[in-house]
Amino acid sequence: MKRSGILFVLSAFVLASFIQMNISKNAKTESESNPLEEYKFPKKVKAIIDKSCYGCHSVDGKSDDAKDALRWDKMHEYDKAKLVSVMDDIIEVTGEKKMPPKKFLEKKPDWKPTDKEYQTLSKWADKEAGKLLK
Amino acid sequence: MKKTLKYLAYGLLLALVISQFIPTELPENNSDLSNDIVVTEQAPDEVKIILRKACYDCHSNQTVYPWYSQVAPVSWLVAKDTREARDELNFSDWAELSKRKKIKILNEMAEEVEEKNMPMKIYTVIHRDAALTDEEISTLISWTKSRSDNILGGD
Repeated sequence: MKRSGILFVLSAFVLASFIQMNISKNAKTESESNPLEEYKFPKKVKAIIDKSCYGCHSVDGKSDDAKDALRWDKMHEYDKAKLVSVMDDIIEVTGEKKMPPKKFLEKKPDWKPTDKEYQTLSKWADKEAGKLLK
Repeated sequence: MKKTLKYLAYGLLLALVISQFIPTELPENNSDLSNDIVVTEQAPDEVKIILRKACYDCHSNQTVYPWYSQVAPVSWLVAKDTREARDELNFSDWAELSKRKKIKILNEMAEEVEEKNMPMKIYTVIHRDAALTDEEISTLISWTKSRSDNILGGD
């Protein structure tokens, strides 16, 4: 039956349009042994980063998405614009406590920042962004 | 077998007809350009053209809705995607953003088009001219860099 064939194709097309295509990128992995030394972090901030962020957002991280978004150990290579956007991201994710991800914290509860630590990180990022923007 | 297919087809057709009666609201348009990125950042024509054809259907208040975007279930998808896209980034509200946000978005624009995440495949499959050429991608990237340098104080 021709008509039902056309209808079938039509409905398949409609269904297909709902499937979002997601092409995942394979980031390159490279190793390097320069942790938080090169970018200047206040001690308090560095301690929070070490505790809650560095495991994923550094050369040690297993997720390419996390590493694409931010590499603490590559901050010194970022240009001003990238730094400003990183600072804005930090303010966003600390404000909404979006990082570390909830699911992840179920496995590693000791990585969870305290409210005060969230604030410290956010204030620091705000100050850094302010400096970059003068 | 043939009969089942026939019923299935009629069922789908019926569902398609019924779905037209479910109200969907496509996000409204607004022709005000006073806060728009192309005006406030003085985009050159080549950049304007790229932004308009590849970004503005979702990321601005100037969506061009083709006829099929009014037909369910396509309208549901278009309404949802457009609403979400405008929430994420609306070039019509550019002037309202802080310097910090502007720089971040310019940076993200460059990253998204460079990695070919944007414009989304599902969109460019239908809107062929929205698929950017390598030349257009590099035009857009160098423009975002120059605007962000300008905001940072021109160094």
